[in-house]
Amino acid sequence: MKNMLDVQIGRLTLRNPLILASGTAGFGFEMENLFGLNNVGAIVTKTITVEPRIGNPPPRVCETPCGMLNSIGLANPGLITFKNDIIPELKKLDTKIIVSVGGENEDEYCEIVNELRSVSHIAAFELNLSCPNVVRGGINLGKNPKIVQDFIYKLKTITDKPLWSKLSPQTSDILSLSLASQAGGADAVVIANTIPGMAINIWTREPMLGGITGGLSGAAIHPVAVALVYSLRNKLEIPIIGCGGITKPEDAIELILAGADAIQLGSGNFIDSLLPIKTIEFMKEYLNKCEFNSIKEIVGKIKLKT
Amino acid sequence: MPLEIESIVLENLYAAEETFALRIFAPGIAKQAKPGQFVMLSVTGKFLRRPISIAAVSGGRLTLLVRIVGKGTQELSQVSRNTKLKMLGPLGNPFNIPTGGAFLVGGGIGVAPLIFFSNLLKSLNIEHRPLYGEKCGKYVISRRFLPDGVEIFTEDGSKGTIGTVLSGLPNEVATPVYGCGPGKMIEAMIQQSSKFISTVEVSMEQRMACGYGVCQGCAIETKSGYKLVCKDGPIFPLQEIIIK
Repeated sequence: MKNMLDVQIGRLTLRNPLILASGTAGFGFEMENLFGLNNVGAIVTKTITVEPRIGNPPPRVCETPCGMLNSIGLANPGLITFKNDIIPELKKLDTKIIVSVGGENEDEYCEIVNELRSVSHIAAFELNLSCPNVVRGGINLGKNPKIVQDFIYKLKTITDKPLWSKLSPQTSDILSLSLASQAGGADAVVIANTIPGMAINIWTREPMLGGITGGLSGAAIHPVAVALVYSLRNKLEIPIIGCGGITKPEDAIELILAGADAIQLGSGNFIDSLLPIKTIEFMKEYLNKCEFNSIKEIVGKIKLKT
Repeated sequence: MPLEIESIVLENLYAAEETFALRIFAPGIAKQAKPGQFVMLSVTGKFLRRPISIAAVSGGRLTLLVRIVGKGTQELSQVSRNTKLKMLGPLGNPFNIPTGGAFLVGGGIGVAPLIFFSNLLKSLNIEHRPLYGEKCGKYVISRRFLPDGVEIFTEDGSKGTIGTVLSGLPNEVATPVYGCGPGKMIEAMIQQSSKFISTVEVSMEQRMACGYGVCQGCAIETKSGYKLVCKDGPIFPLQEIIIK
């Protein structure tokens, strides 16, 4: 009973399937003040790029029906500051650290992974192939299955650490991109990221975001994530990490039933900073109530009428 | 350390036209709160929480003064006694406490954090002059919520002295000044900055998502680059501020 929540993501064992999504947990220590990170399975850091990025012009967030738009623009201190100043702090955190890697081109991803490959307490890299808020790189790198496959293959030659491929929901063929990630050697796919979106103040006729368009997250996109995960169920050999619009504990179970081996919680943190802990507690409660011994037993166990 | 709690509304009171005061039972937050800090408040039917300045603390209770500016605050204005509100706080950095005298300058609902600050300065026996301005009298918040000795200004003269709140400042201000108000007021303070001999701290606003620095959503442009209102502020030195 004790380990009913532990999951295996490739070679990586997580104490539970709840992962804090990139961009919503900072570098972890900011959240340490609110609740102990020793509760969560892993955290994915804010995306790191080679050069520091100041981010997009404000306003960077706005409310939308059942969700929010963001246009942060991968604001981050850059690789060198991350390595010298932030990594020593990450060592203090009692959870698995996944570093989100971004870049304008393949070489930048390679440079980051190469520079960080020997840092022992980085458990894995998550390749951000799906940020909608940058002009170069991001979503554009993750559009073509052949490019994705070759790119991940190349990164695999640089590092032994697990690589997670975080894909955009804005694709006509999530399966091909997931299979390409798998063929390239990815250890997991993360399904998905925010959906590109836009809002306009009709009275000022100005866009609500400084970056004009942004990424939609929150409850509004949860059914999209469930459908995408479900579409990949039983079609991949590598684990699926479901991500999108979890705003209540039940949403996490829904993604797991659809086929996710683990889940990432993002904007939901903003509306209730205790949501990660509540979700972990609910998972145990759910398993007990439905008489399962392990969270692994319910992965993809949606009941379909025959 | 900020706390995530379920607070209880004790009272929802009329404070002025389109303005209401929530008295909320939140002892853990009230105990830690300092003037200038804010809470993130959940609003039914809205995704993001709303950052609201703390206007007063008494025992385990917080007073929040809120002006209806959009659908979120409209919804919040409807809460009744015993409503439970999810709340995270206190957040952000407080005003620095002056050693001698001070001017507190509140424009519109921006007066809220300065009420709390005035109460604190009074308890510390620090002499200060609270100034409060509104466009017109109907928006002037009821005196029961305002600090003793507050000087009221309205642009149309319908209540208090005619003029903007900044007209209440002397030509040369030797003591620290603390301001909170709309962009236009901050802009005017920047234009008049030559009259300020001592420090000027202003509280800034921005749309916010997390409230504690992880999402980087509430950036504003300052002379030293983008800063986060929730984590680097909301209190900033006036000379850092850029208004566009």
